[in-house]
Amino acid sequence: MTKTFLFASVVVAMALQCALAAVVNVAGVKLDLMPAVVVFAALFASWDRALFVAVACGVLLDALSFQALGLSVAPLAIAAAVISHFQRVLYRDNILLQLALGGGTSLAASVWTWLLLRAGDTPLPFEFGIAAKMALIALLAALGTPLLLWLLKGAARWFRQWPGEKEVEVF
Amino acid sequence: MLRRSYLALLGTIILSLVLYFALPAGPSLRLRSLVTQLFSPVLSMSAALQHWWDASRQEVQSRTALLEQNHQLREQIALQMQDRLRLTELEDENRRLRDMAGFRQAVGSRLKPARITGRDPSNWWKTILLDIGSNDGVSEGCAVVTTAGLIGKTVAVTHTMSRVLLIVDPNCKVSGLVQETRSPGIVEGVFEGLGTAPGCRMDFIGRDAKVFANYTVITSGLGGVFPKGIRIGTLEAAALNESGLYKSARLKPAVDLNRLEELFVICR
Repeated sequence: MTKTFLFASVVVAMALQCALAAVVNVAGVKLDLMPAVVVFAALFASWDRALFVAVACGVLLDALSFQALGLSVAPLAIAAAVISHFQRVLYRDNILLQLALGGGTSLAASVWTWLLLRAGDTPLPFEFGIAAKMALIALLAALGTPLLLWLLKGAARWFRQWPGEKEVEVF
Repeated sequence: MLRRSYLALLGTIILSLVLYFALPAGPSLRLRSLVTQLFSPVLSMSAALQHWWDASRQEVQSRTALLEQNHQLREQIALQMQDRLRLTELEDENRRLRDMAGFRQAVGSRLKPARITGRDPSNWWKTILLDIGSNDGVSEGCAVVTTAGLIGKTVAVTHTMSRVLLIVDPNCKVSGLVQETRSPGIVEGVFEGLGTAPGCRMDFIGRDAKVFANYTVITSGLGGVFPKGIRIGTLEAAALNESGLYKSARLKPAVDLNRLEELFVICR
């Protein structure tokens, strides 16, 4: 997959997230699609491209929200690196695995946010309501992951970006 | 290969931490404005989607509810026709009195109507985007209100859009005043957990001040951002702070921030 296709995926997912922010609202929690895009790149692209996608997702999310720039980059990059490292031993089409990876990436981002905010002027308190909110954010991200992966795989095939396409052409 | 990937990851983490802790406000704001400007068509689509969703939900209503609504509206029309006659008389009288006193209405011309084009995509911050920017006279630090009360202030402005920090965001601090007792304090947003509505807290109320639930809080005008006398919300319960030096009270915003439609920016 080319970087252009992956960057376009990030932009489209971000646009979708912005559009859904006003419509999808479960107990005050919005749908976060960035973990799903990172999981997609980490599972199906090379490690450097997965890292590129993680950085693009983090910077774009921070720039379009009121978060300090750099807040979301590190957890997404770590998640991308870890998933990419085990890419060959993972059964990538398993929906349960995709759910777990999407939820885990989202939870890592929330925990990282909590840790960095603890060091700032507006610390995020550690209380049951906040923990439950992090869990719900992760759950929604997990549920969105297989769906977005399916859509992105379809788009990759449509634009002849899927890794298997070249082999088909050779034979 | 593996070593190179570890180095790249380490570099990314360090860079992100440097960005987070050391990037000055100026470049950060410019980058945000640039990205927001690039995404403005997408954000406008988001607003259109929301309006379509709201309209679709309103269209599905039962016949009984519609009949009842119709009946109520007819009553309202009759009452409003009477009011209109009375208001015309009052308007004439008002105009005459203003002319007599040489009064100039200045505030009206400073209010810029705006519509929401997007909401913050992250789950921890409370901001909205408006469809007016510096081309319309909006600058950073302008108060944003509805007819019901205060909403927040503009924090980033591009040529055509403005980002508004809502009063329920923990980064937003407003100098407030309890209307009934004139006790001052600082109103700031609180992080909301699961199942809690977005709200604020009023801190630094004098420990001897008499504040009770349902008291109204208005802006004090101190600080120069928010004009004096705009309604912020109502107090819910006040208690002494842990240190025992001052009182804190939870505050319910006067405006339902999830159902915003027509807003006004007070341009300076």
